Amino acid sequence: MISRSSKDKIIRFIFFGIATFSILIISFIFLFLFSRAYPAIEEFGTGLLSNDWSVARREFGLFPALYGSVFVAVGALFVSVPLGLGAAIYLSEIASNRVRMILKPMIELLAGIPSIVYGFIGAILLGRFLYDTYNMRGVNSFFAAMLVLGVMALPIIISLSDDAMKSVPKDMKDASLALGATKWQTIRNVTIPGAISGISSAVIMGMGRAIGETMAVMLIIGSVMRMPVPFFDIFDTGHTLTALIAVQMGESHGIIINVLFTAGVMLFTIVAIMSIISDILQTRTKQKYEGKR
Amino acid sequence: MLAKIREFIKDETKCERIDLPENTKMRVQDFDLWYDDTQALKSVDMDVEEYKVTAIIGPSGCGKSTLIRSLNRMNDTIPSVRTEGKVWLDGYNVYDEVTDCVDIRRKVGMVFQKPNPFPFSIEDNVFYGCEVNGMDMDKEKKVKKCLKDAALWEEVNDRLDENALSLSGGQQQRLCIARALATEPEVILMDEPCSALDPIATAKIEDLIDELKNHYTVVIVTHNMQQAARVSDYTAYMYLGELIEFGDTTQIFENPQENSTEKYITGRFG
Amino acid sequence: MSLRKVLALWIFIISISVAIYGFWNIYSISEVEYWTMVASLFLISSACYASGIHHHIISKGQKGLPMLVYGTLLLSVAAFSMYLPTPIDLRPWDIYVRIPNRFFFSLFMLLSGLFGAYLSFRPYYDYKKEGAQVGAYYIFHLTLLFTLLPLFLVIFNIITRGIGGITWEFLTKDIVRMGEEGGVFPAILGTLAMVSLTAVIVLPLGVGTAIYLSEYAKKGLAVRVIRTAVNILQGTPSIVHGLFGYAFFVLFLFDGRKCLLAGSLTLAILTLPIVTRSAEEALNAVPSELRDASLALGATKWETIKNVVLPPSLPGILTGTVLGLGRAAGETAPIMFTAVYFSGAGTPSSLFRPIQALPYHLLSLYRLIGYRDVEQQAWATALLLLLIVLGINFTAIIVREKYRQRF
Repeated sequence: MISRSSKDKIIRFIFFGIATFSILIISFIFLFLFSRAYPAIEEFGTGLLSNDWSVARREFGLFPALYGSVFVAVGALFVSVPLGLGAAIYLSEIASNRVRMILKPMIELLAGIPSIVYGFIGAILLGRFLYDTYNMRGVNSFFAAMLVLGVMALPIIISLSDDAMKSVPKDMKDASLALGATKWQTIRNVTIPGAISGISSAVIMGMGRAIGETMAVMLIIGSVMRMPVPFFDIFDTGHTLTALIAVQMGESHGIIINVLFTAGVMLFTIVAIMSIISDILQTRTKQKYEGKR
Repeated sequence: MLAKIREFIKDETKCERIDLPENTKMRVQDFDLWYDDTQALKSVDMDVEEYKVTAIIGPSGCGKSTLIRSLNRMNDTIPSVRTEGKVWLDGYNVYDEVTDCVDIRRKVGMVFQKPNPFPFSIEDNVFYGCEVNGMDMDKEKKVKKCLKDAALWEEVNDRLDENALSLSGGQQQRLCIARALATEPEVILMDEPCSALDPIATAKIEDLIDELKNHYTVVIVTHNMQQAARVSDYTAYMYLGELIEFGDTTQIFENPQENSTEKYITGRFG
Repeated sequence: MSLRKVLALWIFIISISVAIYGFWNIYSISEVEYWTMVASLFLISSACYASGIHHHIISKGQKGLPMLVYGTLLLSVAAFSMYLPTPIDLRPWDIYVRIPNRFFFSLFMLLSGLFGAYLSFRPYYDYKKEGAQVGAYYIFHLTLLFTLLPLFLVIFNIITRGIGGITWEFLTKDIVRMGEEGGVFPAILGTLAMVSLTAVIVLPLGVGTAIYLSEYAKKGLAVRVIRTAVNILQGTPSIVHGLFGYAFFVLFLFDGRKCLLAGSLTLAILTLPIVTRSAEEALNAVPSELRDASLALGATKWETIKNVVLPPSLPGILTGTVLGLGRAAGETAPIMFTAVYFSGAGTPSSLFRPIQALPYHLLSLYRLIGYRDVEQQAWATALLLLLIVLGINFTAIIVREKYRQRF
């Protein structure tokens, strides 16, 4: 018979084992992606970062897709940051409890819509609508993808910046109000500056979500492996890392698979770095008011 | 007494007026307050004398903080609060429909329980009130004057651009007082200003309150009876949301009329 | 009413009408409408001038300045836009770019109308601080409106277009001719089977991690690393999960066979951080006094967790898990290389056989649009998927709101 306290120690150890699973998975992801990517890296080296993609000539430059991923994510931010911040400020500072109780779940529902549904709607309705109305070159474009991704990044930006603004102590807001500031002056001078690192973390996470989004982008972006011409033309078509993997994986074999895994490694690294940065920023907001006293 | 036009009244013609006795700065009249269904204040009546210190004492949860927050309508920021009754300031009703509940707060300043300076520089902290109220003045002079009035100038004059959170607790609280002075209030409300401070810092704040009453009317909430006896001219004793007794401080502490008051101040309570 | 208030009201009314006009006609403006808009821009800018100058003369303040600047900007744009041909072709660096200028013109009308209305609040409130507040609130209401608009558009379109395809046959029949005929029954079953299996896998892992993080070790290097790992996992793109599932489960463990189990394992990794986070939140919501009370009575840590901490946090943990599963049910990218086949996979019969799932079926149907007559089926599948996912989320949210006020 084991004593109660040693049993407790065993249980603690079991839980520790379970908790290390996340670390294990992360290292496995990196390990397995990298080991599959390695043959391509070995064979092409920096050629993987070049501009030319041609299966026939065995040239696999991933730069257009990398550029497309960043381009489309930055464009999406132009939609989602103004809207998301406005909505977050409204939710956390202005809305009454009752309104908040209704709106919060609605924004969660927005987050729950599957990305394939967004992609389907984006391609069938939005793309055709833009094509019909503006004589665009085709149904697909960066522009449509930016709109859809902007909407898709909204919920995460709203909920994270809402959290950040909620973590500014009520003391501070009270102090400002007690000095005769209006609510809006308090928001502008106290709440937003206090939550700024949390808000930037929200924006980074939103961008990470936009970069990592696959199905919606795949159906709208056009899947053409070249740079938009000129490079800032949002009405052109292109490719992203995620769409490249999703489109090519099913119909390729041999070294192309390894190239696609390289794209996966790039994607994973970019987004992991963004997660870490946003994580640091988030903790900073929380510590700002707690640590000093 | 024909008062000057008050800024916090939006429409002078529509507001209710009474004449307060001379030397009475504020009057709380038949004031009730509810948090949802719980009544926190029950028909409170109280007068606040001009250029005097009025202390509000009572066991915790008796509504003293709620009462002081009602004087500048800070309770408006809590959605579940509902009030009835009147609070007069110079004969104007603070709770009148035409009263601007934002502007009232610069005439009735407030210092909170926990020092709560903004995470800005010291001078920005002091000047914040002037800035949001659009008061056009020389920042340097204003900051210097307020810090001097709050007896903090000597300690911080060489580091005005440092973050206010780097000050000690007592200094932070005096900074909050300086910040409240900057909007040129007539009444200063202090909600247990020393409860988070050590005895030395507390003594400094108490000295400061003594200074302040030459130019301002001060209302202070405290759970420390010795402090009330030391700094105040008038004392109100509250219990369970009711104002039990109000009067001269010496009278309250030496010769209380009510049984409950006596029990509380002699420490035989509960 | 002072002259300034009249002017402010004038700016507000015209601006709002311009905004509505711009929004309404965002995809087609006729020549007449075009000129009406240009004329209204002139009207707003002149009103802005009047109000700004009025303030300058009366109080010699700087606060009227935004109105003057806005008026000038508007005026110059109005003047410039009259010379725009429709549509315009720009040729920077001899590269052909076509800009749908009417769209931009309408967009500009919309934004400038809204901004003009915002600015009109300041003179209306005599340039006092409350004017800025009213203006700011107006902007926030607008952003909220534009945030919720896509939600309504998506749901409205899917319901109206998809409802016609939902029949008893559609729900219960096998997929025939790649979905052109028959129903989606195997896909529904596949999705449900995969998600239930995911729940079984992820629940112990996620809750165990959360218990370790919130009950056993609050600080320290190990906790920091675990937390970072969970965060990275949460941000990891779903396609990367798919690649990993393919490399690890399909190729390494299951010998190159896509199957139900591989899909569920991949989805479990995807949902692990969501479950961990919400479980941790639920556990942290249990007041520490309860733990202390139990420990003071001589219970061990594990007994305390089992009897005191877990029962009240169970609803929170479950709703978090269900929210995560809602996400898993709608995901396509993680399963397309690990569990689903383009066609032929029938009703799920074994853990080690490939399946069909709703999101992937929607993708297959989309790819057939234009070649076969499947658009109605695609909309119906989208509606079904949306109903399942939002239904799951909605239930979780309702349950959570019900149990929220407990401590």
